Amino acid sequence: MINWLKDFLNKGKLLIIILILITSMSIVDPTFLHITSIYSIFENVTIMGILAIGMTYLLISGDFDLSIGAVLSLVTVVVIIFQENGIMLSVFVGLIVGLLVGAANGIIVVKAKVNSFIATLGTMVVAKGIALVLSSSRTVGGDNPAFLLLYRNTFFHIPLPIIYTAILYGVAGYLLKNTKFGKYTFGIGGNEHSAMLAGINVNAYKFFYFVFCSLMAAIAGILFASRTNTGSANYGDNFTLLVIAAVVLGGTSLFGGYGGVWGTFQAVVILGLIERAMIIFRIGSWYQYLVRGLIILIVVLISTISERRRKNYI
Amino acid sequence: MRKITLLTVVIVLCLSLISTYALSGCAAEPVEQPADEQIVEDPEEPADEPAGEPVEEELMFQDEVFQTPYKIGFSAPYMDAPYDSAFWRNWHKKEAYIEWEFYIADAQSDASNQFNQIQDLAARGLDGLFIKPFDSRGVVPVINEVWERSDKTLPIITHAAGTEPSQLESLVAHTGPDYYLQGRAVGETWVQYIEENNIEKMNYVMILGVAGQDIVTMRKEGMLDVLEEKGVSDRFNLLGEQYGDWMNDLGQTVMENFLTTFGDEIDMVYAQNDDMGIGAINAIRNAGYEKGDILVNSIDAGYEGVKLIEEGWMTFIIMQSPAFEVDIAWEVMGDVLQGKEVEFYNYIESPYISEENVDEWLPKIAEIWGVDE
Repeated sequence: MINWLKDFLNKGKLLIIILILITSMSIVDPTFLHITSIYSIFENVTIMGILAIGMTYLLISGDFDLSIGAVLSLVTVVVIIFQENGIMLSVFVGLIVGLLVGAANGIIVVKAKVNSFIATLGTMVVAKGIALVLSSSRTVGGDNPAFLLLYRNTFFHIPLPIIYTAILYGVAGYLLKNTKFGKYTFGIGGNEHSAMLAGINVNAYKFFYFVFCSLMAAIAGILFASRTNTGSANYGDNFTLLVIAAVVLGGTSLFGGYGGVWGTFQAVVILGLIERAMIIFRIGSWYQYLVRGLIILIVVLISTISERRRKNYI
Repeated sequence: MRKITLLTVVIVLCLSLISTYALSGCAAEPVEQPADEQIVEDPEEPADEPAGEPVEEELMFQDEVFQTPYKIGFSAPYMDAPYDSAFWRNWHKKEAYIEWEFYIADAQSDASNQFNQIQDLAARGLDGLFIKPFDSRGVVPVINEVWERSDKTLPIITHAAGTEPSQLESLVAHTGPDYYLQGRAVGETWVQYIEENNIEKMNYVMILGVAGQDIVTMRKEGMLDVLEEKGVSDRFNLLGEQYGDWMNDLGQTVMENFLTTFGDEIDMVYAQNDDMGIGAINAIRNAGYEKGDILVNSIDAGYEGVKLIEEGWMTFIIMQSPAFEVDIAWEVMGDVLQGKEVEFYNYIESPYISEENVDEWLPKIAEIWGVDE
């Protein structure tokens, strides 16, 4: 019985946190459990959630991408600038921009053998710089109100961003758990050298992970731009650290080889609930800084402890 | 080392959240950080008043609308700039006199954060919502969306920063300073200065706030429009302009860069707020210039800025009082909650402070900013 309980508490810890947060907030705020309130929490985390899918793959494979926030910003600017040529074209161009930045990251890390932290720090600055130049350091606005529908429309009363996120998580989760591709991701992250000796084309896969991560950032950027019909070089500034925190909180190891998108999804929801909780519980501004900082610290602690325990079991 | 289980860490996380909630006193009032060492008044406590004498706020907010526990939200773009600290200090000081419950969200200078927080606040079931946009343009669809989701019943007021466009169907009013008139006041003062002193050419630099905010555009355009109208644009030569993000240290860095680039060419500095103006004066001092070598003006009239007028480093300041801002915001929201018709634009007064009237204003400024002279 106790073993069963330990196992449940270990595997379901994120769900338990979600339940605690939901319960406490609905006690304080009776309107919290209204469907519109629930939708707004999920809506608010869709952008971070989509960014986190790409980062999950990359972290599992043993790498980092610090440029996702800058890619998001750049794509918001690009899709707004190209909007006058048609929404479909602007979305296509936005995706291409994401792919190009991802490819650049992949080439620098795989071919030039630059550490991914340093490489993506560089591409982050370049991407932001391009966004600043294209936007003249201002918020650029779109003229086509139809672009807003990409974000604001609903499908059977469910906001579209929630549906996009669910589909992306479903596909990403399936690939990770049920395909050879997914197994190789864990293998490369667990021990790159062994994966290479086993005949896996490590370079090709790593290149793909960077492209995939930037593609997710581009999708997030398109949705972000659609939410407000504006683009800015500053929109993505604060996402990267939060996304990494969410992915690690979700159980993905900072050191590679372990993790999953379902955990990431739960962690993203937790972070969204915490932001709402700070409003419901009327937590003062400076305490909000403290809470966010504590979360990041605890996340790193969890990851390090988990990694140490896993190594002890091997 | 004692083995720490994952479960323990999870419990610690929950306890941290609960204790943070407890520390916050179950209320929205954050403990305000003093903007500088001169602040001695406890911002949580109303000032001591003689027994039996109603304070000004008691008289101002005695109507029933202020004594009803309405839930009012405020979406702030940031709260850590010194002017904003003074604003919130005045806000929390006056809270003692009304029964409204405030829900305040600090976006910490992140536009996407603010978009999310506006939705979170609106989902709270508020009776009224103030928004000070970080991104004047990007916030518009978010405001429209939350208004529509409230079945168009939620009164939303922009405060101190507007949207682009400023008037929306989803907004009932705008309160705060008139940044364009402040800019015009700056322009008019400098035009008068060059006329009185027979100056043919004035080389100047501008230190601007945060890119994308309408405050920046209006304070700049106000000044430039006056120069154009008076036909003296050719007598004012703009050497350069850069963003200082409303911050003292960035204002100083920007001014240092200007001094490195333009040196003695600079006659005047137009800093769009006190903190950047003070930073600019620090840079001017450090570069070895004397009082009056480079003229500086700013907008705000915080205690430190006005003190620099008294000392001769600052030429003039156009005042923007955080206390006046709180009063007008609450008055207009109170009128809206009572169903009264209100003007869309509700501006505070912006007096002009220079060496001629600094002695009269300094004590009043000290009181507003909570400084013990």
